Amino acid sequence: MKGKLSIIFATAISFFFVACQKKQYAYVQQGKVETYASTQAPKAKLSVAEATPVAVEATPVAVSEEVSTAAIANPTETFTASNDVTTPQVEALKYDEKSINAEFEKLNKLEEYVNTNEGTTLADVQETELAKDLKLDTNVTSTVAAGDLPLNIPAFWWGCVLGLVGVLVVYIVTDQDKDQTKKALYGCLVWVGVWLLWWIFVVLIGGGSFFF
Amino acid sequence: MKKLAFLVFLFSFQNSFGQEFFRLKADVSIKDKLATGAYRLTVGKVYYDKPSMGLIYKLHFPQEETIIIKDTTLYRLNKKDSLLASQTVTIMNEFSIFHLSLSGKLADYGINSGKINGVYKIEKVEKDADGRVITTWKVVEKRLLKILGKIKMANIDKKLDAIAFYDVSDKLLSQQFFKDYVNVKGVVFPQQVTQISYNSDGTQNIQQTTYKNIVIDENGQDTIYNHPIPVVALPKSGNSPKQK
Repeated sequence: MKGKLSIIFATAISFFFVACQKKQYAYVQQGKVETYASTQAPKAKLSVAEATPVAVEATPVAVSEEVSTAAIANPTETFTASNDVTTPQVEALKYDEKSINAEFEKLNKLEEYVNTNEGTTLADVQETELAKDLKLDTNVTSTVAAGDLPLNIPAFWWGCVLGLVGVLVVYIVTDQDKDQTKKALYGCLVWVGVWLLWWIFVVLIGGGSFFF
Repeated sequence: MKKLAFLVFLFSFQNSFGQEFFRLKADVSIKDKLATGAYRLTVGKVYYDKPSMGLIYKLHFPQEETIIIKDTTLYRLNKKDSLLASQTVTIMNEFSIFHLSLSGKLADYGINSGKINGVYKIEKVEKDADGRVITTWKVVEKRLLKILGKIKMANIDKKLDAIAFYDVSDKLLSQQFFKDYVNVKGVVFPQQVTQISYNSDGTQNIQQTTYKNIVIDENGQDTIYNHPIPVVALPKSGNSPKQK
């Protein structure tokens, strides 16, 4: 009787953990869980310590190092999967040259000018007609890097799939972001819980069939 | 002696086919149209050194500065080469367009080799109305099945024309288009790359990169290709930044 009660208890706990896992995943799918990109977006800007330029090679410089996760705008960047994206009405693999050109119509004149006048900086053209009507964003780093967790995988799943290694990855990559690390830790704990319960279940079943 | 000469001939013949390219330089112009309606323009030169996997941007617009991307860190230097800021990035330069082109693996996006070899497998190959070969890749790595979606590629004459990335529920995340290919010393490289990323609210970010004056395997300029990595000093002991 005692053995059967243990089995029932272990099964109930297993179902509970699996349900939690599924619920969390469902939330991610529905976009209810914030991704690292959305929570950390304002952090993407780098702090600039331009006021104290020091020869880098000669002496180590203390800089404000704002570390944030980023995926470079290169082929790897798009090996990502986000669960909170709705399908846009776009035909895949079709290049609409006209619409792309139209998007950049305003910027093309400025680009042409900068390319023909090498060495031109924003300061040179800022007050001219070329840049006057343009809402220019000068965050160069965001052009070559965009913030997100590796592979766009939510922190929970890093912990759940890779265990402590996943938690460590999230901890390092998010610059010790407590919330993200906590999510990864929850994922890790769920994985450990399920794993332990599975083995308890197996042992109890085995033991039960042995004793009864 | 004749046998030896024959062997030398064979060896040199084999080597000529297995030529390794190691450097790429180009003038680069990157235009961004953000979902907010704002624009970005970034102009300068890009240098890639394959042996060290170092990617260097020498920019002059919007301001003169250098960006070094190496070993998962991005460094920003001002025109005096002083460190402005650094940032950890989840970059894998070996999957950059530069590395893939120098390695001759851009046609399949390097999806079938390196670290991600075995993650994807061809699901379907078909031809579209324009005669392009459309290949659909599906994830086969069990642990990634619930995380990564399929990838679709369009190839023309064995050159990558477009690639589209999906999430697990087949929603389009982003796509890239590779146009105006040139062949420089045997390296096939697209002069225009357009990337469109779709946001959850239906908006999109567009980035169009144009490469000109592509130079392959340039000798010299080692100080640029292997730009010294700035040293980031640790805070002095007892001055924890968290106490500030």
